[in-house]
Amino acid sequence: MTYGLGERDTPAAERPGAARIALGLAVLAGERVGAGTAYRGGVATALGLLRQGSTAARHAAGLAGDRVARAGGRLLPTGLLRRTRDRLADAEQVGRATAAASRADAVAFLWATVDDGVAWAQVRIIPKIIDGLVPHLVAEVVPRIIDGAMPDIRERVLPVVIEDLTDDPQIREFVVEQSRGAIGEATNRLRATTATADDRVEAAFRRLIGRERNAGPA
Amino acid sequence: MEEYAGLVSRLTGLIMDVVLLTVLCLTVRILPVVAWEQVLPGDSPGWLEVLCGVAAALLPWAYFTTAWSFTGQTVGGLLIGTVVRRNDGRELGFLQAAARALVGLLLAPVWFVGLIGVLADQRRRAWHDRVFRTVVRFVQRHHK
Repeated sequence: MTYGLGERDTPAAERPGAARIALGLAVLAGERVGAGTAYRGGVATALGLLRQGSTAARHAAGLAGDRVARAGGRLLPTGLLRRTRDRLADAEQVGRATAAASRADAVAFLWATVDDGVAWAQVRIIPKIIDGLVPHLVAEVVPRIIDGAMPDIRERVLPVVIEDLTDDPQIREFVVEQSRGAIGEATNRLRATTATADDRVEAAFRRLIGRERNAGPA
Repeated sequence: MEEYAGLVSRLTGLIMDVVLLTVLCLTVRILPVVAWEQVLPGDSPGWLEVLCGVAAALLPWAYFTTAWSFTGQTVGGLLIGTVVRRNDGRELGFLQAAARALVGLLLAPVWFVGLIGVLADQRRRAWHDRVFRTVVRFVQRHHK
């Protein structure tokens, strides 16, 4: 995990280029403003042509576009027109794929940026905010909340809680067990104390009379 | 030797029994008479007071006899963890328990003086223990 905005753990070789992310962001922006098919049709074709890097295709596309516009396609040779159309179709396919991939990269980039930002804020910002807020909350806000809520708590909440506790068999059993434990502990302590006192009194008695204990008849 | 209860343990248990019996005797002696006078008009009859007095007088003997013959433990002994047994470890019989209780109650001063014998006996027996061939044992030895 990194705590810097825009930093990623992915290796540099796997990172998408800035142009690709920019393209993906543009696609996302286009989707947001309502152009749901922004990377289709002409845009996609243009993207595909750029992607292919084919100057000829671009030239052919421009030429074909001009001639088609002027003469409705009748003055062109049929083969050239078909090849141009195929290339344009291929370019559109490539453009769509490029736009989709760029969009996915942009989404991943945005999520990573958001995650890093949140993690960074959790470590660097939020603790400082809390440290600054806590004294104020404890000194001013909490007492006011308690003062405001205490009457309702006394009148409405506590009776319900007490009733629930007194009716709860587990609580009753717990109290009985605690009482037994306390009585048992006190009894054991008393027994230990008296037993120890037995020995001490006898030792003192033996020292007083200056002899050991008699072994009396059974 | 340590399985036998010493002087302090026995006196502590005995004091607890005395306190308990005092409360019980007062209750038996007074409560019925007071209840009679509260519920019925007039003073309580003489026979009721005599009956209550006899019951209160017999209660200590009945208490010790019952406790020693049935379980070997009075309430004080139960709290301190001591039990009265015969020399051979068996429980006391009814007659033996009754005689021990009667002598102890009638000759209470001698009973107390006889507890000095606990300090000098190998099995921590008092004088009356020697007479009635009993011992007072710990149910479970507790030492700090």
